[in-house]
Amino acid sequence: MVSSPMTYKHASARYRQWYAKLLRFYPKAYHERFAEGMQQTFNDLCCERYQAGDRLFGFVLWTFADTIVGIIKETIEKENIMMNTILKKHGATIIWIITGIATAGTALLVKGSEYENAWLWVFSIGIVLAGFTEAYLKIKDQNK
Amino acid sequence: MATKNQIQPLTPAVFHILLALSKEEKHGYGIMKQVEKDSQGKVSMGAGTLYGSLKRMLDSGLVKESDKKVDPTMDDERRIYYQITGAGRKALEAELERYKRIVTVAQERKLFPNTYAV
Repeated sequence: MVSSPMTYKHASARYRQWYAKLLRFYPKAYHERFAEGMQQTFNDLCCERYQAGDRLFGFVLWTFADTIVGIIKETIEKENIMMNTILKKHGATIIWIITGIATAGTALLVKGSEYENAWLWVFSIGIVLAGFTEAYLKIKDQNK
Repeated sequence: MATKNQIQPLTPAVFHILLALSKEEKHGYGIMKQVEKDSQGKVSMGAGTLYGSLKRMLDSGLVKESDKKVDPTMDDERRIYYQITGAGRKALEAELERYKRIVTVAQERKLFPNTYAV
């Protein structure tokens, strides 16, 4: 509980510091774009409560909880976008490599003659190489 | 079934932000206060919800940022103001129209308090 205006100001300053630290958990791009505005809004709300003589603790707790939910949402969204970009750009390559590894795995499990297994190995190495070739060509294209 | 040309229903947060910006541009704190006023204190948004919604609205072109300026009624800090766009106004109108239709249906079915069918 905050008893005097001085204590109130100290508490408010401390909460503002903590809030600034909490905002750093947002993804970088989001932080650069909105952290200043969010900090200003938080300061304004603290001042409003100070002028109204309301307690800060409940408000701070609610704001922090709301911000943490926001951080989680933005982080998930950023990860989803990253994942989609990776899949869009390198989806085919990933499929090639996974197929190659799966075929190699099958070659290890199949108990056939050495001749049959050799073909499976050649096939799986071929698929993995195709995957790496595609990845190389894409990276070369991007660097042009 | 919704077609591509139809404007999708807005989330409550987006609806209230657009309503708050319908008259004039506002900064974050100004939007919060206007939302509280418009909803008679029933809706209060935290900074996380407000700025998360603003980000999505900026990305979808419902609002735009205007230059940083000082709010004459507050301190001397420069703030980013947000403005409703043409697309934002259309989305707000479509949502209000949707609400109007729902209210009409409710009136027809006598669903409002003191108008229940006996």
